[in-house]
Amino acid sequence: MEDAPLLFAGLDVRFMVEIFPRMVQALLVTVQISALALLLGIVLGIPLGGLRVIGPRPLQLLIQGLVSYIRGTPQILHFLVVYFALPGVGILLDEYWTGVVALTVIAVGYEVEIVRAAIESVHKGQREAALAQGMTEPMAFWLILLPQATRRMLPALTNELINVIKASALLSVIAVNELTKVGNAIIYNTFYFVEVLLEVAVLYMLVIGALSWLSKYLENKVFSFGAALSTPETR
Amino acid sequence: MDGGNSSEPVLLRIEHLHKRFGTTAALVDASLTVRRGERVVLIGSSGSGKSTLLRCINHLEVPDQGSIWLDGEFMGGRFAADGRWIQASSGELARQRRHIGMVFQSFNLFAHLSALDNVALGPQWILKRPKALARAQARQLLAKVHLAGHEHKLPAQLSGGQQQRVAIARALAMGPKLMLFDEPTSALDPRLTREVLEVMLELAREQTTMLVVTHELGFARQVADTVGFLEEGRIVEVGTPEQIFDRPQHPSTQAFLNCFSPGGL
Amino acid sequence: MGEILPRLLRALATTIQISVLALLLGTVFGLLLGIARVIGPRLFYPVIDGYIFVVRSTPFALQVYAAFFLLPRAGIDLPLFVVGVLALLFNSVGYQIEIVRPALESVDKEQREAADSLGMTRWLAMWLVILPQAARRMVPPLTNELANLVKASSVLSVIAVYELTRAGHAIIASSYKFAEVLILVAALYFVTIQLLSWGAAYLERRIFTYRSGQPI
Ligand SMILES: Nc1ncnc2c1ncn2[C@@H]1O[C@H](COP(=O)(O)OP(=O)(O)OP(=O)(O)O)[C@@H](O)[C@H]1O
Ligand SMILES: [Mg+2]
Repeated sequence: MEDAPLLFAGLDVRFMVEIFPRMVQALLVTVQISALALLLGIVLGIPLGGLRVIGPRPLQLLIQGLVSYIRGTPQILHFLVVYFALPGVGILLDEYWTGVVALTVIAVGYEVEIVRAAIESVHKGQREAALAQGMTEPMAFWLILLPQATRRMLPALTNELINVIKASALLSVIAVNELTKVGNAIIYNTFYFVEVLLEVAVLYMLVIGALSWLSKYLENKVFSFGAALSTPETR
Repeated sequence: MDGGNSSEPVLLRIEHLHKRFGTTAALVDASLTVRRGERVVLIGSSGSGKSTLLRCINHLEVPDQGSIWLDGEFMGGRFAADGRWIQASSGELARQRRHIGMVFQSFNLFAHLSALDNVALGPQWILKRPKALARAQARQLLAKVHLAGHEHKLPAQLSGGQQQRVAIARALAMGPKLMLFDEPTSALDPRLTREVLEVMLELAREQTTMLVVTHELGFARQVADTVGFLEEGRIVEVGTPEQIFDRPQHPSTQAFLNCFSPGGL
Repeated sequence: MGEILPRLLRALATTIQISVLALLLGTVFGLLLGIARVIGPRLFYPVIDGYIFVVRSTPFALQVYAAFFLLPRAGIDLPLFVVGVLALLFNSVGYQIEIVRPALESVDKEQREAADSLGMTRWLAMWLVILPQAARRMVPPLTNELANLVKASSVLSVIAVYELTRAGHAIIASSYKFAEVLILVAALYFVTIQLLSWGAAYLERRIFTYRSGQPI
């Protein structure tokens, strides 16, 4: 940083370029951790969503309660619960995996509902036909309902990825080196407030803007034959 | 009913009006004049452009071409000294529309306001009359359309015929020079139709200038000074009720009138 | 637990205060910008859309940090509580515009036409005819927005605004009773947010009745 600052609109552009590689690296962590949580969320969400529809009644209620709890309390609380409760029951994870677990909890709360709505959107005649053929409930679910439901879920899952990326900024409080945390760290070291915040915001907007474009594209073009499912936007 | 007085000045002059919606020509070279106190009825089959004509007059639809004068004033804009056309601003357009009352087929009463407020709203807020005066006049107008005692009902609590009479009172409250009616009774059953037509008959008797689109041919024959027949966006024939109903000249008019049984008139 | 609960309840009151303030102030701006987005000069549209995009495409936590860093930097020194309200306001307005606009656009176009035919100007028609009808339709989503704000306000704990989450954190740090505290905090949030969502759903049903003909 011995060069003279290159100013544009009062911003030190040279500095912004200089920190860019670190920012991109942090962005990759953000995307990686979010995608991981989304995928783990699907792995859990599919059986939970399936059981929510065809499972025994008490289990349905339990899953419904879990979903209401996750959606009806602040996301940051899920971080605190995971952060304190896992060690409390003897599970010791590093910050990164603590973050993944917490984000997965958040994602599952919405993915269960996406899966449920997708399954319910498949005509119930399909399930009855499968059962009439002699399939068991799980067979009908995996072979008939899920394949049909999958394509309708893609736009909603893309939106859920956006939600998870936004939620991942909360990981800055438990020292995961994702985008918001790295941005804050640079600010505390250099006091380049505006430059750093601007760069962080633009990177988020690029990724999230691209994803919402993708979600709309999936909704309109590729899957125009069946109503796409939606998921509420979180902040 | 006495015939139109051709010595009265022209109130509305429509010349060479054209309007397209995409590929549909809704109006083709339509011209019409309405004198003060004249009652003009427009008939024609569905899709022939009757509504479009009325909606162009008060610029709810902007015509593609042609001109409309109301009482000597150009609707929707003016020509500058150098001959350039200057589009009216939305405020200017609003001012011009105050002189034209419009009654819609679907009533379109303001859903959140009582009958009285529907009528008093315009005078109070647009004409800036004192609230008490606006409301007193609204009461009188509601009585005039036989709705005394219904002042405080919401549109949803009124029958279709009552709603349409409130709508007429609402339009009259602005003291318009011209009243436009676009199939005011098409959404109503025969009994309610009669209530509304009675009110319109009274207006006609008072020499209100009105331009009415309707399928009620009996009403047309009874009140109209002039009847116009539209087909595919063109005004193909204009004349007195006797000329149009008894001796139609144009084959389309003849075909159209044949669809109505003689007993229906 | 006996001495924890009162402290948490006081913090919940702060949470609710912050959220209600942000909601009410947000409604003022949301209405202004939402109306401008529908009948204002076209010049405004990209600006308003851009603002909405920024709000929705960045994490709320980042917006909170931005308020925390930038306001003092711009020479505006405010108590943390106010910084928190401002951050929440900035965020909420972005969402409230998207509540106001569809509500305005959901009023039948015939109502606009009837107003036009009487000779009302756009702004008068908005004020006398469109807004009063749209307002009813905004009430349920705005109630829901309050629930969202209660949730979002927890993020203000990262800049040490002493609301419910921060209070929980502080009590855990001093007492290590994390299970009790977390259960209580979660329960308080859950009940508050659930009540608001039920309220929204109830109002939704009322509005629906109104639309099918019965006046409220
Ligand atoms: N807003 C619009 N967009 C597209 N086409 C339109 C629109 N309004 C009218 N049209 C078309 O213009 C033509 C004339 O319509 P208009 O409503 O004026 O007919 P009308 O004589 O009033 O018929 P009706 O008796 O059914 O009310 C029709 O073909 C109609 O489909
Ligand atoms: Mg019509």
